[in-house]
Amino acid sequence: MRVKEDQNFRNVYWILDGKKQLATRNLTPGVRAYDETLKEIQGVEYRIWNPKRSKLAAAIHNGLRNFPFKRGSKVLYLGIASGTTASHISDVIGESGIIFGVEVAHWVIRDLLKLAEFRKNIIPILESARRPQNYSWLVTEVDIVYEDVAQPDQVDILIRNSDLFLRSGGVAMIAVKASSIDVTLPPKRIYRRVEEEVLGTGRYELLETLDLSPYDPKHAMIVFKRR
Amino acid sequence: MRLFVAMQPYGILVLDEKGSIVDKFPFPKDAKAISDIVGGGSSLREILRELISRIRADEIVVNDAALKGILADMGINATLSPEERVFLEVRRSPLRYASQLWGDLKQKEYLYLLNEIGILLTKSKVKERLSSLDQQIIKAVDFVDHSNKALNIIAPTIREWYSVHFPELDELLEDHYEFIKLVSIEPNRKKMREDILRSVGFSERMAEKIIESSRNSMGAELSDSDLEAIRNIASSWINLYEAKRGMELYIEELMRRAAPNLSAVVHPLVGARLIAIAGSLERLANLPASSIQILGAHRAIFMHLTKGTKPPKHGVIFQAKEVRNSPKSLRGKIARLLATKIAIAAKVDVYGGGKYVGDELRREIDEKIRKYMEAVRSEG
Ligand SMILES: C[S@@+](CC[C@H](N)C(=O)[O-])C[C@H]1O[C@@H](n2cnc3c(N)ncnc32)[C@H](O)[C@@H]1O
Repeated sequence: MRVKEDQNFRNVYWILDGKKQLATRNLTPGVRAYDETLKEIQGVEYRIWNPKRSKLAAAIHNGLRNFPFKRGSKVLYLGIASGTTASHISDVIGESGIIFGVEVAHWVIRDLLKLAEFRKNIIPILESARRPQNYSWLVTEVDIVYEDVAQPDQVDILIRNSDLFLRSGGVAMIAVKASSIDVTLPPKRIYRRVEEEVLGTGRYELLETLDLSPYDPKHAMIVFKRR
Repeated sequence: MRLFVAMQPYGILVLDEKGSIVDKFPFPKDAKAISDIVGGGSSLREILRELISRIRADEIVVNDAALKGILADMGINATLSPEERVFLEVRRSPLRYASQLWGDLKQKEYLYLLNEIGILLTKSKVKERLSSLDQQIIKAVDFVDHSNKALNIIAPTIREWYSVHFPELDELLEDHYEFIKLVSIEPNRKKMREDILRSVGFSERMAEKIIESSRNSMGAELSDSDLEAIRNIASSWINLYEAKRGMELYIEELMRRAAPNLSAVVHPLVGARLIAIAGSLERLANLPASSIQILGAHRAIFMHLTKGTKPPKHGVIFQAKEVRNSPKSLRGKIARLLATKIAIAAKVDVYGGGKYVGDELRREIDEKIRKYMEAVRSEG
């Protein structure tokens, strides 16, 4: 079993033992965040990051070029759910980083609470991302806004939050679920519409649009940069 | 002058257009105290009242919806606008502003505090929403109970009425739903055809039987308008029935969220009834197993006295399939066992902070019941 850091992305690893598996280094050794596989290699514990469970992992597998998460990054995560993806981001950004995790469903956020108890870089916020005026008192300016809410107005939600919290030069990522925006249109048309809507504000540039199939068919990750 | 009132984790700032602090109220440097203030206690109101009395402004701009609400209560009109440049500045340099209220502060210390505040606030909100969830469950259980009563009262009327036209059907279809569903789709016995009956969901054999007896029926002819009248009430009955079914599924969903442990131990509908009778999930969790075991028996006694139903031996717990489906001699024992596990499950749901032990409790129940059954069998 061998492990090597990704060529482009610091703190993201590939574990090679026959197959190639994505992983992050466990910030809390011995403790699982969900039911992921742990692997110990040369005294270091890694957590396998499954692209079928996480759209961000799927994006990396599909050749994502923009991965803005670094040690110390500040992140606003909209739709953090129980924290599957966030736990890996938490590994990457380390103890000096921070994730403000907004989730509206209280039965989902229970698991996130457990995660936040030992991952001190996660801050659970039980609110709707549609109402940033309810949590702007707690959130600082951030380097990254990551959104995965699967809602018809998700673009609007992204723009409002990024306008408020994203620093200039920061990155906004949105996992677009075509069917929750419009089931009647082909996904490509929807991605185009999302791009145009964000670019139409004049405050963002498009960095890339990445299809997430086969891991998440009819999903895309679209990445913007704030001017 | 336009003044900006910013709530922040470390306190409340009053700022001018340039972002200089005009006035301030530091919160105690303690996550619990902060989350209490921000989480909707009366102290936030007091703090604001005090601050507002000290400042003079033509317009007040706030960064938070709660501040606006409190000010409105005090008769002060404030603009809610977290996107103002001044607020952006405050969010950009949290440590710089925080240190003006708390003295020097390290980044890590600040982040830890945010983490703790987030956890405390979320916990108390989860608790709040859960208790509103069980109130929803109680309303929904009420609807199901009342619907059941109405359905059971009306069904015989429909059957009797329809029997004028097709008396043989009463014998053939014991189930109210099947009977009335058919009437709601095709009340005219002469127009009943196999494809219609199959589409209602009858087996081939049953469909043939019904057609045969419809052809030889001794029932009276009814006019189209008579049949239409019967069809109308049959459809209404079916609508109510389906609404009730839908509500039952909704209750199951609510229960799995509000009380996942309890829902693993007894069917969510039985669990929901227990919550409804106890008054709330929290009250159920505070009852001893012995009370849980007879919960609901009072109503059965009342029904017995007023409606002449059978006298009750037991409460709601006896609706659980584990009890109903077991030999009579074991029912009391199994009910007691279930009550014990329900008491534990409800406590974990309320006080366990999201812990899940449902599967374990379920296994223990199944094992004990198997032992009881073996003992009964070996006694022969
Ligand atoms: C697809 S799941 C997110 C999965 C998660 N991002 C991960 O990869 O681990 C979408 C989540 O968004 C949440 N959500 C939906 N609408 C929301 C809103 N208005 N504000 C915050 N969260 C929302 C849902 O409750 C759900 O948990």
